[in-house]
Parts: sequence; C-alpha cells; structure tokens
Amino acid sequence: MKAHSVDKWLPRLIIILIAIFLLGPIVATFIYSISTVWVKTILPSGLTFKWYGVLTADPDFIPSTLRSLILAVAVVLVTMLAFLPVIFYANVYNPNLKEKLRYLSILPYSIPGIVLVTGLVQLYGSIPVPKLLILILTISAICLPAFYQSLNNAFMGDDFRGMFEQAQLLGDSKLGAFIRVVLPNIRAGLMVGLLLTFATAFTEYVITNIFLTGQYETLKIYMYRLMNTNGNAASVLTIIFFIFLGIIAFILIKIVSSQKRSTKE
Amino acid sequence: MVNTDNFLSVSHLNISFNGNTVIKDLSFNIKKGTLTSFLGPSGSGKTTVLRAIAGLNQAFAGQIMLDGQDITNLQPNQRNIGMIFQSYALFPNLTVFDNIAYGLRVQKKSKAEIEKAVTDMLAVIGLTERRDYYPANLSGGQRQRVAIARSMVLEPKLLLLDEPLSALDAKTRVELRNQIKRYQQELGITMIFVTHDQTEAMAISDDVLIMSLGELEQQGSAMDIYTNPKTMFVADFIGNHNVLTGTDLSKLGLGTAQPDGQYIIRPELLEHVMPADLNGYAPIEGQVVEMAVLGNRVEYSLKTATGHIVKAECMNQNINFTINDHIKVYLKVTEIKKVG
Amino acid sequence: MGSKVKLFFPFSLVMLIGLILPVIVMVIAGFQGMDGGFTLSNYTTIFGQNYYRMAIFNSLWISLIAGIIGLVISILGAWAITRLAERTQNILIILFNLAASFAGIPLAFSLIIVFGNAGIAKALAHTLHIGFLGNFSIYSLQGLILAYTFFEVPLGILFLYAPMKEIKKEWFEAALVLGANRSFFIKTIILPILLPNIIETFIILFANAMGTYETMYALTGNNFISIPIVIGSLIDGSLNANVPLACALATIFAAVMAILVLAGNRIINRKRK
Repeated sequence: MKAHSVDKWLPRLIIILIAIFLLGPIVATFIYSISTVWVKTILPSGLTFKWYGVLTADPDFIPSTLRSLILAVAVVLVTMLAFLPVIFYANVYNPNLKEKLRYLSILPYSIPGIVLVTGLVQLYGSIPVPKLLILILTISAICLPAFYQSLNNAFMGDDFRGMFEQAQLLGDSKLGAFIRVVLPNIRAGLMVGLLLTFATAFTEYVITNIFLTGQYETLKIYMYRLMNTNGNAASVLTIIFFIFLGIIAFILIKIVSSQKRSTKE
Repeated sequence: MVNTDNFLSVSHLNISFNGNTVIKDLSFNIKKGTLTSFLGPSGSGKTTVLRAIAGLNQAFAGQIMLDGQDITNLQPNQRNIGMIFQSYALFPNLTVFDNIAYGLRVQKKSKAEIEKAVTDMLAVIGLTERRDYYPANLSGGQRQRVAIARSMVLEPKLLLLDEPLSALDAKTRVELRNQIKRYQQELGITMIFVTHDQTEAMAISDDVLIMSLGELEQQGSAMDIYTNPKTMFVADFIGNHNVLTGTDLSKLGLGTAQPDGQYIIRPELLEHVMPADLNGYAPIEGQVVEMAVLGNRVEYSLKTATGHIVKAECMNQNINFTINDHIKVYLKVTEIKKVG
Repeated sequence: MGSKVKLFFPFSLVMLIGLILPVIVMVIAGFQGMDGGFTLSNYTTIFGQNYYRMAIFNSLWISLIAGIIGLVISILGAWAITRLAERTQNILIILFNLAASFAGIPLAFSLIIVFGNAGIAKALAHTLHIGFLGNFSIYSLQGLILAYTFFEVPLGILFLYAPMKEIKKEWFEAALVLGANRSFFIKTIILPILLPNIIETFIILFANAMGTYETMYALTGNNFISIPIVIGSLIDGSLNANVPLACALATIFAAVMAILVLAGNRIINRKRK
C-alpha cells in the first residue's frame, strides 16, 4: 500500500519541481514585462502594459521580425525542394543511402553553429558572393537532420514504393504520382519537419550574426541589442518570442495527436 | 505478326542487381485471355520478371513484346499494364471510389464517364455500399478487390498480380483466388499471377511457369507439370512425390525401367486395395513408420525390406492402418515417370 | 540516369555550398597562417598557450558538470513522466521541447532578470539575509552551469523518455513473481537495458554543452574563456581577429566531438546486440 502511494506522488512532485524550475525565469520575465519598475525589489513597484506599446512602436521591431520570417520561409522552401525528393528516394528506393544518411544525426553535435561559421567566414568572408543566399543554404543544411528524422517516421508504415509505382501504372507521371499520392500521405510528418525547420531558421543566431557581421538584423540579434539598451522592452520581446515558440509547439501537439488518432481508427 | 499464342512475348531477358545475375536468359510466351502463374520459391526471380514486364525495372537486356508492340523501353505509364501489389498499395488518403477513379482522372475523363465506370466496377466487386470508405476501414479481402478494380477499370491489356493473397487468412485465400479466376474469365483479361504456393497456382491457372534461381524450369498446364515434371526441381517443388533412382527401382522389384536417372512415383497412385487384375501392377511391402491424417486422405510412410522409405497417400476410408503395421500397396508400373 | 542527376543536384548543391565546402576550408585553413602559407603554428599556439588551454579546460569542465547534472535530473524526470497519464505525457513532451528551444538569448535574458545584479534573487537574498544566494553570480562558472541545465534537462528528458517508456510494467511483475525486490530488479534488469541510452544521452548532453555559444555569449559576452567564445572572438572582425586560428580550434572541436559521438554510437550498438 505504501509503495503504491509513493508511486503516485513522487513522479508528480518531480515533474512539478522540474516545471517550476524551467518555467520560473519565464514567469519572472513576464512579470517584468508588465512592471513599471522592478529593480532590486522582491515585488515590482507597479503593473503596466506600456512596454508592449514601446516595443511595438519601435521602428526596428517589425523589420527584424520580417527578416527572420524571410529567412525562415526561404529555408523551408530550400528544404522542400532540395531535400524532400532525396529523402523520398532514400526511403523508398535506396536503403543503402538511407543507412548513410543516418550519420547526419551526429552533425548538430560535432559541427555546431560556432564551429561551422569559422569555415563560412574563411571561405566566403572576403569574396563578393550573396552572403544572405549562402546563409540560407547553410541553415537549410543544419536543419536537414531534424527534417530527415521527421520524414523517416512518415515513410514508415505504408508501402510508399508500391503506391508510387501503382500510380504510374495507372497512367500518372512520376511528378504527378509524387504530388497526388506521396505528398498527401506524408503530410503530417512533412508538417512536423517543416515546422521544426521553420523554428530553427527563425531562431538562428550564431551564424547569422557572425557571418553577416550583424548586417542582417534578425529578431534574435535585435533582441540581444534591446537587452543591452532597454530591458523592459526586451522582456516583452522575450515573452512574444516564447509565445511564438509555444504556438509552434501547440501546432505540433495537434498534428501528432490527430495522427495518432487516425492511425488508431 | 500477332497471334493469340504469343500475346506477351518475353525473349532473352537478363537482369542483374549489383553484379549478381538474378534472371538468366529467360524466354517465354503467354497466350491471350489466359491466367498464367509464375510459381517458384522466394528468391527465384518471379517478382523481378513481373516488374520488368510492368516497366518498373528497366535496367535489363532482352525484349518484351505485348500485343505485337515492342514495349521494352516504354515508361510504366505508357504500357497499359495493370499490376496488383502484394501490399495492394491502396492510396490511404483516398476513398474506395477515388482509388478506383484515380487512373481515369489521370486520363482526364469526364466526370460522368468516371462516375459510370467506377460505379459499374464497384458493382462487379460487390463493394457498392463501401464507395466512401477509406482503405483503413476495409477488410483484407475488400482491399484486394479494390486494388483489382482500380487496375481493371482501365481495361489493361495485361494484369499482373504479385502474391495478392499472401496477406490473407487461409479461408479468404481460397475464396479470393476463385474470385480472381472468375473475374479473369468474365472479363476475358490476360493475367499473370505470381505465387510461391503450388496449390494456389494449380487451382486457378491455365498455364504454370515454374522458376528457380532466375531460370525457367518448366512451362505447361497444371496437369502436365504435375504428372510430367521435367526437372528434379519441379518434381520436388510441385508435389510430395517419391523420388527414386533407377537402382532403387530395381531393388524394389520395379525394375522394368532403365537403371540410370531419377524417377518419380506419385504417392496417391499407390493403392492399398488389391486390384482385381494384377497384370501390370507391382506390389511394394513395408512397415508403417509414420502416418499423417490429412483429412480426406492419410499419408503413410512405409519402410521396405530394402531400407527405402516410400510414401503412399490413401483415401481416408474404413480400412486404416497404424504405425508398425505391415502392409502391401500396389502400383501400376506404367505410372513410374522418368524425370526430364 | 538524367532523373537521378535532377534528384541529387539541388541536394548536393545545398550541402556543398552550405556545409561541406566550408568545413573543408575550415580544416585546411587551420593549417594556414594569416598570410595563407602552410604552418602548424595554429596548433602549437592552441596547445602551447595558457589562454587556449584554459578555454579547452573550461569548456570540458563546464560541459562535464552540466552534462552530469542534466543527466541525473533528466533520468528522474523521464521516469516521472512515464508514470503519469498518457495525455499528460504528450503535453509534457511538447513542453520540454518548448523549453529546450528557448535556449540562447531569451533564456539568458530571463535568467538575468531573476539572478542578475538587479534581479529578484538578489533582492530576496538581501531582505532574507541568504548569504549564498547573495553571492551567487549568474555570470560565473556556477551561473553558467545553472543556465545550461535549463536546456540540458529538457533535452535529456526528450532523449530518455522513449526508452523509459519501453520498460514494461509486466517485467517488474514477472521479477516479483520470481522473488526479486525492487532494488534487485532495477540493478539487474532496468539498468542494463537503459545503460546504452544513458550513455548516449550523456554524450549528447556533453556535446551540446560544448557547442553552446549563444547562451554563454548573451550572459558573459567575451569575458568567460571557453572554446566557443574564443572562436567567436577570433572571427568577429575585431582587431585581434585571427580566422585561421579559429579554424584550427574549430577543427579540433569537430574532430573530437565526431569521434566521441561515433564512439558512443558504437558502444551503444554493441551493447544493444
């Protein structure tokens, strides 16, 4: 009986402690963002929403958000066009290639952004190339492991090779078969992969900042600048940023859970 | 020159994967309007040949003619050949109706035409009620019928079926194989049916083509192949025959045959009831060392005085023997068939 | 064949321009001086000068401690999650994903709000006279380790959750029937099964901490000496910039991490067999 009750409350306690630990600073940041002044006191002096107005009125806020958006959308497009066909081919036709692509998973750990950016600076730093375009390709390459993993899961289960070939035997072209038969049946995994890619590109900081020497001010770079100039506005931006990540996480929950439901049926 | 005997004509087909030859100089013809089975153990290359015919594997040497047209280099979507995959490969995002309509939509047929053709097809396969179901909500047998309908609605010249029954339970298999035969006869369609199950192949085929290790072993009617296997492989694969050498035959006192070569004796031809006229018959005596009740028949393994094991299959009638019984069976000596 | 070229061309182009060529150039540049000639001086500098040795030592030390703390907490956390209702589990997993992606500048800023010189923690320590909290600095080694746990813990939980979920309740029941008690069961069944995953997770947490730049930079600027910070300061275009030296340091980093992760994979694969 005793062991049973420990089984019940101990896990809850652990999770609650971890959650308080992880969420504490975010809650504090939120309170900070709605405080008039909160310096060296236990509680803020008063509450206000004026910092939200200050941030949104800042002429740099919208442009930097747009820059991050442009970067993320471009990376998503590159990922779709350059990677998706190869991942499809590896999964459906070429298990050897798939075996090799498995090694991608060590990429983020052995070549993190700060390492990769040295090569970028050395190679492209002093030659006249469109650096933004190279940045887009680099971030796409970084996103490949996570994108690949999400799609691998999508290709499990159904006989995609059979479906792709069947569509051709029924008279369809390869491209038609891919669009009409393959894409609709991997859409959940594809959505997850693209969302992760989007989020990675949207929040990238190290490479963008160092390689483009701060010239292309994305939301994160703007956030860093704001942090050192206007802490209250920066806290607002941090909260907006958190909400943005939360929305992506929420969409991911919806996709994954609706997929689980439909496979159960 | 097209005649119905070589409706499909495959000549000198050679296929290799990564340096391994998997199909060796294979040539055969298939008659129009027949159902031909490709029979062989897994790894014999049946599916590889099927995929070459469908155009899904074009890295090969040789020529494939269909209905007088050289289709060797055509894309799969230009061949007018239907294929049923082992997994059925139904499109999970489309309803039964939309799955069947797929090919017609690719051909940009009018809405009314599609509606009519698909509705007729649904009636043929008896799934009119299920037109708006998704594949996930169908039984295995229903899925298979949708897969067949999806191909047949395009009226292909040739329909290829790759082990279409392997995912089903034993009872459904028998039901569906008869159904496939019925569709084939009603619609007069030419079919190639790949299987590793010899009972299945014999039950439905007009013609059986036996393959082993990428080579053609024998082609002929089911009866022909069963009674006159041309190679040891066929004899072994096709039935439960007794296989004996010429020397064995002489030792058993059945020695009218030539002393060299391999011979088969079909176990169901060994009768335990003494024939009225013993002329042309030879007796085999032995002790029952094993028996298996197969339902309507019983299989006995006899150990003869010469030490040979001979299998005899008898109808499961009132006379039954048990282990250790000493029995005598009779064989019409003309039924001893030389292999090859 | 034409269609295969069409298939692989965009893929190869992106990978070559975005990743492979820069990495190759990085490795080559590590053996070049500022003038472009061949030299080993970058490597002798890195291993010879105290400053770079300290950077390597600091990185290893902080990653080791953060990895161990992260591992221990995430083992508890992952176990705890598997004990909760299925629905709660799914929500928690997404929340931990969210927490892991919050790393970097936003995390650093949140921590400064709480633990910074003008933060709540300081105010609390001051009013309640808690000495250690008053002396705690988020900009110090301890502070960085604390900061790292904010993404190491969720990352560790995400890696350990799936294998923990594989452990079946029936196994424990079966062991009970066979007369085992809980600690014997954990020692003989659970640990050997989970050990490969625990090793793998630790390596990932360690490697992830080693490569962390953004959080550390946002908290300490260029003041804390570590491999990523040193690389960053060598290539940021300032006066003491030395890109070849940064490339050499980055090459060492990439080689060591690749070997570590691959070796980890190998141990794990062998164990699993």
